[in-house]
Amino acid sequence: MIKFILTIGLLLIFVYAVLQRDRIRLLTTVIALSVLPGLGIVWFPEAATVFANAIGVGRGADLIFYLWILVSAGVMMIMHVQLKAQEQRITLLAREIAIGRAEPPNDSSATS
Amino acid sequence: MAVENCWVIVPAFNEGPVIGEVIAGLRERFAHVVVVDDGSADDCGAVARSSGAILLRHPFNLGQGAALQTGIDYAVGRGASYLATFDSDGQHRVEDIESLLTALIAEGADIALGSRFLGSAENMPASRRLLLRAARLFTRLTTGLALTDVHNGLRVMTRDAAQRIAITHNRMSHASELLELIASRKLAYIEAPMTVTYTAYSLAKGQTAWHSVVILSELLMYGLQRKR
Repeated sequence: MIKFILTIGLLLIFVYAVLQRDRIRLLTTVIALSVLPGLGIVWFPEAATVFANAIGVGRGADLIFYLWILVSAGVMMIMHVQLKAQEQRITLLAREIAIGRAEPPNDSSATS
Repeated sequence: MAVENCWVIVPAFNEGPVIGEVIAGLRERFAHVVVVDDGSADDCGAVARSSGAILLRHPFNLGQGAALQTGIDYAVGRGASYLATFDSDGQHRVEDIESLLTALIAEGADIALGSRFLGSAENMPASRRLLLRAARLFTRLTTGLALTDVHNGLRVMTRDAAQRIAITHNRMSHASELLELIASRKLAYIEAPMTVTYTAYSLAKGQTAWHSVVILSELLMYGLQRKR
């Protein structure tokens, strides 16, 4: 039962990532590359242990945990950079508004 | 005369208690004073305007770097020949703009940077002095610029220099970014003495050791973004 739930969840994530590929290409690639091995491990759990042993990790579950940390950190970094880029666009917009609505001095001695 | 077309840009955030006096002092010598109200919650913008400043309002708080660039874009667009940046918290003296401007023209430089270490820093706490020394070393290592004061808000630049720099670091690390831009654009710079007067008000609002950690992390993040 759990295998079907996990498979449906992973496939939904995969479809979402593919639909978003024009907007966030790097993130789509990372997600797609994570989902496919994920499906393999869901259906053949022993494969994770074989692979883990091959690279010096004791258990398959540990390997998945380490990879999860790595992917999460990568995704956070990508999102942070995206956020900064968006902040830059918002700044330009706010600047245009501020300059477009410049208010002259309202004191009597003003000459500007 | 140069002073007549020198536009003074004052970024301000919640400086209602002191901004009126600062602007009134500037307006005695300069015809064009631009206050960029960076989303203040107090009456900072209204006070600045009634004291004689042109007021630009950011719709929300973006940071001092963003406010400076907004003021620079506006002044350049209005035909400024020279641009000065000036702190809004009452730490700077109006006459120092004039001495920086005179030095800039005499030396034929693109930008004149104020230095409290060539001039004087009244009532500066020892911790602030240490922090600024560390910042000086950091700047020397990252930009190659040998400056005595690297986080000084008083600067005077030519119109051409203003057009060649664009501050993209919205928040605190803009001062470091500006120095990087001076180095990378190969702008001719000079340092000139000025006086910073530390008041209880300015010290309460000014930079602390924690801010230097924030600045370093901002520089790191912007560095990562640029390499993308």
